[in-house]
Amino acid sequence: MSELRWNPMLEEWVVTATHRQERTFFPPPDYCPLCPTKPGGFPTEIPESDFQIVVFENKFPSFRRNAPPPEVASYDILEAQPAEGECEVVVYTPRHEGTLTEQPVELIDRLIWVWTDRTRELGARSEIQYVLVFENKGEEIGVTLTHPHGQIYGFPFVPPIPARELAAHERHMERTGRCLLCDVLEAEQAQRERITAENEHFTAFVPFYARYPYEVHVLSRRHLQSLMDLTRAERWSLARLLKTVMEQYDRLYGFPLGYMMVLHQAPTDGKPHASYHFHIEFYPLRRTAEKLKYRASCESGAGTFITDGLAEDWAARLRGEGNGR
Amino acid sequence: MSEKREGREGKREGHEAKHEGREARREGHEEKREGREAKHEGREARREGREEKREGREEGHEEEQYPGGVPPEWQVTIRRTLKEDGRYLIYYDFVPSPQAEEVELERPREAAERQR
Repeated sequence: MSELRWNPMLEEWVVTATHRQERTFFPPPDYCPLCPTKPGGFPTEIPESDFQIVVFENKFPSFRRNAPPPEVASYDILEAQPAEGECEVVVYTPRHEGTLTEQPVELIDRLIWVWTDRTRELGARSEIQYVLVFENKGEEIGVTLTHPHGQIYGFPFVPPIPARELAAHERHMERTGRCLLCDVLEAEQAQRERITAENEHFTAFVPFYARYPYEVHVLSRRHLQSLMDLTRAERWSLARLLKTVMEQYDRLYGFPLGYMMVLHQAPTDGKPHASYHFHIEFYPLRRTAEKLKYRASCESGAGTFITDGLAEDWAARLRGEGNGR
Repeated sequence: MSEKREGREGKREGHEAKHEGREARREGHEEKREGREAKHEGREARREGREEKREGREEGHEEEQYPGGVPPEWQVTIRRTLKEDGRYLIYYDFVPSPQAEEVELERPREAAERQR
């Protein structure tokens, strides 16, 4: 059962998805549901014995097509809605071992092609207002299946963070006539100390205002709104830069670093959103090899992040320059 | 007797009219299909023109244009299947192809309008 419940104080939806308690939790490698089905073997989510990239509907979705009505009735200010939308799983490779970092750039390029195709198809559905492409990697992020995979959510509303970003872009555009993230990128490129990698079409940097340890943002140099605006050359550049960013992460502590990777695209609600700037954000949680950053009281209760490191130092370490400043 | 014959005649005419209607609809479908084909051919011709223009531009300049290496072109086959429980599953098969068309992606709403 899943449904939306409105929080009138924060003016945002909460998704209640109780069936997700039942989802597969660290299965043994022989019973991985994301591996191809071996002849005569355990039937996985993928019936064929080999594949390149596969997308399928999540068995334990937070949003679904033809969502049933909420189990609780709305009452006055307490509003519930069906959790209409889509939740997909993207399996990057038939190989169970490894991570996206170790895959060839060609595979990452193909993966971006698939993300783009799914954004277009899901975004065309009238009930889907926003397409969120993301990957949770590592036990510290709460991943329960280790097979390399990501997810795509088709939201029936524009979620709060993209909505705030969009509003900020629009205000900045109104005030200055310029794109907000184009200006951020220009400032980062002028200062350079937080840039971790770049190529002809994309720049990766720890933002001046990083909230998570070693948080990295990947920005397109050209003002794009979504994956659908990428040229073939830009897609290839993005694939190369993503691989570099992930390699830097894995070198940091000498083991694969867990992260949340989230693509930030313009909504698919039929409005133009020309002011919005497409980008990708990585949020690792590991502030040292052994210690995690938690969203504790200040972050969860006040919405203000407190970091115990400097973006400039994190960037230097990701570039492999010792301990930074 | 003649009433019965007239009835038969009427029935036959009715059948003929139905048949003609079907024919007309079929012709309509044919015309629509031809229209679609002509549109597709036009699109193909425009694409070929663009390809030729692009190839002309790229010849000898690929290294300069792509400092990170020439981006691959893919011929993509998308296979959609349904699982036993009704959930969809999509296989994406990629083959490197120098002839592959660079997909011109439509905006979601444009695609939806076209489908309508």
